[in-house]
Amino acid sequence: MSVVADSLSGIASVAILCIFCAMALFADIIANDHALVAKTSDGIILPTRSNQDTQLYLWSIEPIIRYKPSTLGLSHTPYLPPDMSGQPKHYMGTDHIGRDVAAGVVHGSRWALLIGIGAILITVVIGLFFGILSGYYGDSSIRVSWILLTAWCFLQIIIVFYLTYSGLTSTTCLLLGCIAFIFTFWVICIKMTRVLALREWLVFSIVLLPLDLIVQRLHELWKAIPALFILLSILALIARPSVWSLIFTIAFLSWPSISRLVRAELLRIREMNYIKAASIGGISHLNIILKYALPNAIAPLFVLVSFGISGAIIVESTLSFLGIGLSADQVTWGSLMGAARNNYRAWWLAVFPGVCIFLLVFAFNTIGENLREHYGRMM
Amino acid sequence: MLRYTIIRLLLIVPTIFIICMISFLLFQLSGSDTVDGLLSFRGLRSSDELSIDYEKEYRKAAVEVGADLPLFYFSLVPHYYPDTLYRISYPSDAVLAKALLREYREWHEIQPYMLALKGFYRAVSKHKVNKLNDAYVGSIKASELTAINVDVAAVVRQTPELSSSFILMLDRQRAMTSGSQQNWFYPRLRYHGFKNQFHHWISRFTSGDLGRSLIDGRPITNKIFKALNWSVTLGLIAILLSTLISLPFGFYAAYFHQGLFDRFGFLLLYVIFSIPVFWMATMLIVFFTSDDFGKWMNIFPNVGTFYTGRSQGVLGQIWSNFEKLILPLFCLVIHSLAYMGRQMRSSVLNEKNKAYYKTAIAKGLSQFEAMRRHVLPNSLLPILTIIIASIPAAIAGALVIEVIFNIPGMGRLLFTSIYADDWNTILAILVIISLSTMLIYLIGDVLYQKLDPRIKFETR
Repeated sequence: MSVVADSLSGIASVAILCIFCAMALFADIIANDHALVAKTSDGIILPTRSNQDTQLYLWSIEPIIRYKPSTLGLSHTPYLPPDMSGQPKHYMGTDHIGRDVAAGVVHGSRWALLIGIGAILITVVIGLFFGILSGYYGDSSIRVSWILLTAWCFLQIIIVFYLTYSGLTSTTCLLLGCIAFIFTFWVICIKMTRVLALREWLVFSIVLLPLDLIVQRLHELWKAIPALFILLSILALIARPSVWSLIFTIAFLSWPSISRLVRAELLRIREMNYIKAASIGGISHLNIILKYALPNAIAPLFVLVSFGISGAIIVESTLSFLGIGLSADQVTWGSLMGAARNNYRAWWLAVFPGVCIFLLVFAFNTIGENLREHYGRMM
Repeated sequence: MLRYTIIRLLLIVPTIFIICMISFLLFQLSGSDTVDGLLSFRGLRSSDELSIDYEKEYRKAAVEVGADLPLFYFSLVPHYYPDTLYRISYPSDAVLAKALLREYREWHEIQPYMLALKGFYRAVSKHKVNKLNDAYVGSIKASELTAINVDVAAVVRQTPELSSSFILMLDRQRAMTSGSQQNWFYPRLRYHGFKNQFHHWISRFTSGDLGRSLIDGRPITNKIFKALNWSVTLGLIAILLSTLISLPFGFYAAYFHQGLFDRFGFLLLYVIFSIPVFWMATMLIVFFTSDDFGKWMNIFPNVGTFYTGRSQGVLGQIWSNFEKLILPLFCLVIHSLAYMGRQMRSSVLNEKNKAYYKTAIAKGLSQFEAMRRHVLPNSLLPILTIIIASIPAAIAGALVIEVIFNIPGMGRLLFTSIYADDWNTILAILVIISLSTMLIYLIGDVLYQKLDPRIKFETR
């Protein structure tokens, strides 16, 4: 914390971040079309829970913004500029179908933070996996028998075949397939090679597995694909993209940045004496990675993570702006701004959500920049 | 050097092949129907789908296009699949055949049943029994068919012309369902040779024919060529402008390091870096293209469509639309400036901190001379990488700008194709864009190596 907030911009960005987190957490309290606490003849009730607003309250505490982002009514005029005269007030005007922008902005912080942080978490998981494979194990530490490797490849084809014709849903298939892919590789290629390594019929077939080379080729493949173009195509393929499919797609496209960094760090750390000492001491690879190697590689990762969050937020809002991201009933900052495209006179639709995106992106970028400077000084 | 270039060029081939394969897979997953698209230009709409004529035409067109061929060089199918299942090109037939195969396995009993079902359909549509038409549309699984049969029998009794085909269908259905059921299956590999859809697709691709758009039937090659012209021209102009601005900026910011210009400029670029490009574009349009905020704010023309006459070249078209292109170009330049300016500054600063700069100062050169003659040429090298690396980013960043300002470039083409489910065009764009990205990176690396003899790339 002190690392991030040692300058004015750092303090400002942490403050912005806290405000948006609070907004996301308490969105239902800040913007709701029910009273928060009300006194009726039966006693004090919480109308947001009971979903009844027809009763007459003796007194009530109203939320600041008295709309939900999805509240639609015939009385609501579309493209209403911010006005303080109406009752209840539209602080930031209304969008193209008369929904309150202020409520949308407050609730939109949830989507922005959820997608930003969720996407980066999954990106980090994938990136760490490939980064460890290429950086720590590298080209010359995994021995496999190519006979077993071929057998494994055939097994994969069979698994894919049975999953395709099993009649399961595609998500389940994908998940099961990934698990089977890794698990069978571990069992057949790593464990069985180790067990059978000394058998005569196998020993001639043992080769070094060029993991680093494979991952590097993957990086190059990913570099050749323009991310935004393929992102749009994948989302067009999914009939109704949910938050999770969006998060996974963003992660699927952006893992190489993390993986490259982890690889570079681990290549450096792998040669350190304490890793060698631990290795000689008989500690397993997994333990070395988790307890000795990764903690030393994690610091520069934070820089990429905070830039990655802002990148994911920009991608998400761009997609919603274009109308390809989440479905239309989920109000996000991008989709609010997208409504301005049909009516450029509605300046409030461009200004308020845009300022929010800018502030959040700015905060994450600043945190990343401060972290980078800090680690730069440390090195 | 030559060897390196050749190896890199050769490496592009398998990469593009993989990308083509992924694209083809996406195309199959998207479930878009080329034949249906083709028929709709010819005036046959798929709303007539039930009619026998449409189906006949569909089959003919499918043979024409090659949609009745197997998908890939080989296929791995359950053992009970017949070896020519791919010949069933009509989509609802194919779905029905697969569903029936899953349930009853015996193709020699399923095929007669499907033929009888077809015959019954034909009789139904011939005698205009609309009730049955509707009843059979969604009934794919045989279990559902038996459930409906009660009503069907009643209708058949009223129209005796149907009875013979109906009884035939029922017989064959009974034969099909009476077989013993198995649940297990094993894979069977089938080799189809070069007469397959993927081979046709990729050989058309390599000969430069990208197929026809599903929206309007125009050749995709033409469409992409036009769009690419716009995107590349605009992208190059934007990169040229931002290089021309950011290079002096980087130089002077490093020259007056920690001075007022440096600090202010750095802060400005830093803030711009966080502004999403689509927000900037929207804000500029909202505030500077209308009279709403005072006459003096109405500087730029409205966002409209572009005049794209046939006679002029792209440059002529850009020139005739120059007024409308100021705002998008401004956004593009600012967008890449935020990245490039910072990189240039750090690149010049990096060189300035090296020992040879101090030597130059020590031997009596003025600071400006030392910077101009020693630091600048050296810092140009990494700048080249930055420029090359920002070309694909500029094209991708232009997507949103093109959509907002209605510029007929690649991004807009992709966007409209996605909205129209035109997967033929989408995949062609993906392959073309990734091919050009790889070529740009290759040119960058080769140039870099040419200019800086210290650099030797590994060729593994």
